[in-house]
Amino acid sequence: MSEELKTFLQSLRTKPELLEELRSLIRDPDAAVQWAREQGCHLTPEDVAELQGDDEELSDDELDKVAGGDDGWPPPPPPPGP
Amino acid sequence: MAATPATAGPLGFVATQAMASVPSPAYDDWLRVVRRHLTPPLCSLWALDRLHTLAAHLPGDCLGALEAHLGKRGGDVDLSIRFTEPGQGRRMAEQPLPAHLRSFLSQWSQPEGPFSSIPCIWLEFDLDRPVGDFPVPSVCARLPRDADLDWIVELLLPALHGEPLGAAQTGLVRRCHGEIPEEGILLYVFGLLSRPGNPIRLEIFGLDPAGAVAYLRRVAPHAAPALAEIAPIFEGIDRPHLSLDMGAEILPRVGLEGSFARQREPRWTELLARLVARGLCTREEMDAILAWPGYDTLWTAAADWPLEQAGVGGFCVRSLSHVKVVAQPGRAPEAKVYLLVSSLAGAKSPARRSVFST
Repeated sequence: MSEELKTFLQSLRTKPELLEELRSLIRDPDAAVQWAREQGCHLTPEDVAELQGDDEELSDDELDKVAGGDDGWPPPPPPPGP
Repeated sequence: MAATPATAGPLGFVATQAMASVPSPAYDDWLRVVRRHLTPPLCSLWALDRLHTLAAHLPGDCLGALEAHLGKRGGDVDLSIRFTEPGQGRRMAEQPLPAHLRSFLSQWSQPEGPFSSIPCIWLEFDLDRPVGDFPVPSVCARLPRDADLDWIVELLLPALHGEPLGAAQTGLVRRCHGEIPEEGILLYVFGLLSRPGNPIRLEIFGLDPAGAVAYLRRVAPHAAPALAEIAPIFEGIDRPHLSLDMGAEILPRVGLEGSFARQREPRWTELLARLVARGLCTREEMDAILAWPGYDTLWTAAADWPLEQAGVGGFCVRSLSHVKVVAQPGRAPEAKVYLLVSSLAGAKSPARRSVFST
């Protein structure tokens, strides 16, 4: 992650409306770069590509796997607790 | 920073020690991401404060379980953390834990060591007191498939317990193991280091509620009636566990727990509704538990996302582990829910695959 991108994201932490606007633009790198410039940040297309690659969703199946493990034997148990 | 040797004080806390630093992000970084979900009735403000204090010294690449007490103790939360990688065990051995526990973690981390076949280890911290220092955790080992009973009794349990088992305890473990019916299996063993009398625990997987009661009638008939009272709560459960503790004899306090393979399915609601009907859980707690599964990313939790430590990708996952009810003759049952919080690398990360292994 470039310093420029990191600094920009830090500045957007408390501005959810701007963050959401950036998110809506990252499928269009040119528009995202232009928009960021208007906010005073010089992102590169590579920065936008990094954001795009990391904007994922998690399926219910993956959520289930995180909860239960996936090693087959014995059936994925809950963790213990006192 | 190296930790200095530690011994447990009378309250089970380790006297002030230098805590070793943990790699970034710490587990607390992930708790901060989910903190807007860690609110009453599931988590009181003081419980959250204690979680943060402890989790700052725990590694962020581990799965953690928040043990939320329900009903009368609602708002109290304890914390357990799971280690699956040798490096995690080695790092944890640098913390100011009791000497025998640090030794066990170190040995588990050695590829040729006597405990290398153990798939995972849990440390469980009771947080019912201020966390000014590092609390002494209970320790739990998941047994490898076909674990040898002699190895369990003569090597593993003494390593968890801090000393060899007494003759009576040894006999109890062997008897309890021998009485497990074919459909059950001894899955976890514990050293309950934070409990009075330093008991050990056996946790048996696979007995349905009626089977658990029948088993207990054989090995601990004094505890069976209390378990029989709560057993119907777990009818239809996917993954039943029975836990029993023992000092020189099997203690009357026993636990039954269960979970479902899927996070979003109606049987969670049915199970929790049975707790509500018995007064073991409030309706508000039930609603909060059902709302727990989900995840956050940089985009959904920007203000709290550990950008410096974790970068922009990946997930902070919240999931349901299981429900537990503890029964003891002459006392009202107590219910708890175990809420998981873990980080998950993004799909393009090579770390993604390892997260899905236990």
